[in-house]
Amino acid sequence: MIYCASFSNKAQMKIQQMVFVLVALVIFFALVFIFYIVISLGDIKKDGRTLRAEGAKELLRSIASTPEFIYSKEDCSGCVDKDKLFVLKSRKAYEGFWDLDFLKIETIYPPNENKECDSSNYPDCNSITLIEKEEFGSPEEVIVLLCYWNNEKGGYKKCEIGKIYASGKAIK
Amino acid sequence: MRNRKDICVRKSNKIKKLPKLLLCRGGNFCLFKFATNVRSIKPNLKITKKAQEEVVGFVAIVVIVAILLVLLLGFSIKKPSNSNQESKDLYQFLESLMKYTSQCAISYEPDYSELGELIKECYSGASLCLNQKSPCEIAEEDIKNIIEASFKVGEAQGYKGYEFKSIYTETEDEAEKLMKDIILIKKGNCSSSYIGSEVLNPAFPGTISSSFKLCY
Repeated sequence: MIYCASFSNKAQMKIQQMVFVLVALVIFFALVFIFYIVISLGDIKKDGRTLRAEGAKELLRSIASTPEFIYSKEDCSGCVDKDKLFVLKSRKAYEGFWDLDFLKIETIYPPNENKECDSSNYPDCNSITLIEKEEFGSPEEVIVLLCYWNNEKGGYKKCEIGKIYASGKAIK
Repeated sequence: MRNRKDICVRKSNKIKKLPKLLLCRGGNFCLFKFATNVRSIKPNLKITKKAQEEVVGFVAIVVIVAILLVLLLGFSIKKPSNSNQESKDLYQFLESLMKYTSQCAISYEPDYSELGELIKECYSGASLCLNQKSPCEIAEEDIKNIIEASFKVGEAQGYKGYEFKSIYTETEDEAEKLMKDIILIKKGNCSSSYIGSEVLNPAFPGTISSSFKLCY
């Protein structure tokens, strides 16, 4: 005796359709997810750059607080002594003291003629360059208060707004 | 019948029971089963649902993954933006600004006032500089010039605008607060994101708070 089994393809077709829809859905969400990941990675890279810049600035602030830089005649946190820096510039003992490729202090206000300080024009000058190697890349900068003793009118402490620029392996 | 294929099996001794069968071609029995392999017809002829269960599992996984992705995207969009931030740079800038030596001497030359002292003098309004200029005028001019020398501000520049504000605050009792604007310097568009900082200077019986915002 022969028994027959009758099989339906309709339901299989429907299952196949559903599977295709689901696969398409998975691909769509995978693309959305990849898009999201790419954007997130971009943000992470940006955050990384910001953190590196912040770290470099923090290092610059710490350089500004070293005894060689700080204005110590009176309590003035974050003040840099322009007189000390001017003396440091000519001290050969400090060559290679900071592991940097570039270190410059510049007065930004009040505006001065753009002149490098030397014994003939000090303190009516604009910048003191302590280190300048041939290739120093793009330097980081922080705003500081540059104070010095002004001998005019009997002498007084004068503080100006300045910037410290530095670059080198220690900064990056 | 369309979409159906009939597969016939010869009844052997192993097949003892059959489910309700329909009579089809030539008086043979027909089994409705979604399978192509006729050997899967077990002696008791139970129809398995394994494939269907797997599809249901797959659907469930896809739905869960979809919901998780939607939630993830939702959270990432709703994540509060840190567009308004405290900046250490600006705090140091404000501290330096307050100690900048101005060209205003109140009592004698060369006892030139720092900008922080000048803002206090501006609030009290009691005295003039020896060069007959008002402390407010000198303070405003110096602050504006220093900001513009320190930061590139403008539509085509890094920052769209800035806002410097000095306010005197005095707390009379816990509820009441006396506030008075001393200096306000604004430039450009400062309605969206910004970085900023604030420094406080004592001015008995109150405090002078100077804040600076850089907008981008």
